[in-house]
Amino acid sequence: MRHTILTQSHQDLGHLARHMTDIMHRVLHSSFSTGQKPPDWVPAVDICEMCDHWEVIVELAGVRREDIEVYTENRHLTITGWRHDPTSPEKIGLHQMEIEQGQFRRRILLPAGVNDDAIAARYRDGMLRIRIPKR
Amino acid sequence: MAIIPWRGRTLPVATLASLREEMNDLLARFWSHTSEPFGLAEWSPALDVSETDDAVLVHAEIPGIDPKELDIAVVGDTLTIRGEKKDETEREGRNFHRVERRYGSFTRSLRLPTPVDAEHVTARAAAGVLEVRLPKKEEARPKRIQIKTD
Repeated sequence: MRHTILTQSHQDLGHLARHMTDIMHRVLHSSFSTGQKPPDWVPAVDICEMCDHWEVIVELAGVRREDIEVYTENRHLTITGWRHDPTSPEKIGLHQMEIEQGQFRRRILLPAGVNDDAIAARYRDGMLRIRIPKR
Repeated sequence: MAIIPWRGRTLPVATLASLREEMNDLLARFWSHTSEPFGLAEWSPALDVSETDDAVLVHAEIPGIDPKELDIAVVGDTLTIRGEKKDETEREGRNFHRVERRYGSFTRSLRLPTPVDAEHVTARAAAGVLEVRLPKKEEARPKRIQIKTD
């Protein structure tokens, strides 16, 4: 009896392992097929709920407004863009480089019950604020 | 032992892909902060320090901070920037589901690479980046040497 249970568990585990392998392959395959390379840096995000809307706050210091793109697709909100080198092009030396530059991307699952046709974004002083009205 | 049959063909994959993306984002954010001095402050702004022919330039990431509230001082060969990022999460009627930004006061000091003229330091801020310009002392500026031809 005990033996049978063990065998059953082992079979279940075997199934589970095969399922996991299958899923991982699909995940890897799906991420390859999107052709997206990982971003150079990832901005910090706060997400806050208020009575009639949600607010997504993204820190994008030094990014120009025209270099930011915000879009929704498939129940996700994506914020992507580019940060150029903030230092002077006339520099003759660089002593410290902590501000990350290059492409950034952030993808956030939208909360349920929002009106994604009325999302508004504003950018000021390096802060992007995205307002997502509730339905 | 009950294992829920995996019937979905697209949804679990999409969810996992999204989960994976979130994990990658979190890891990337974790690693990007490892160069910061742990334990000294809750947070401090990232700095770029560069040098032109006639000045040392310091750029600091200060998103959401009013530059007027910063305190910038040069003493000897050290530049110190002090300030505070106001905590938004404490405000009434706001229910935060995710807080990755860091808040609080900070002090960041930096040994300057060359002697500077502390009387003529200027600072300006644009799009959440502070630029401090510290003119080099005459003796620290590069001297170009003319090459004569016979």
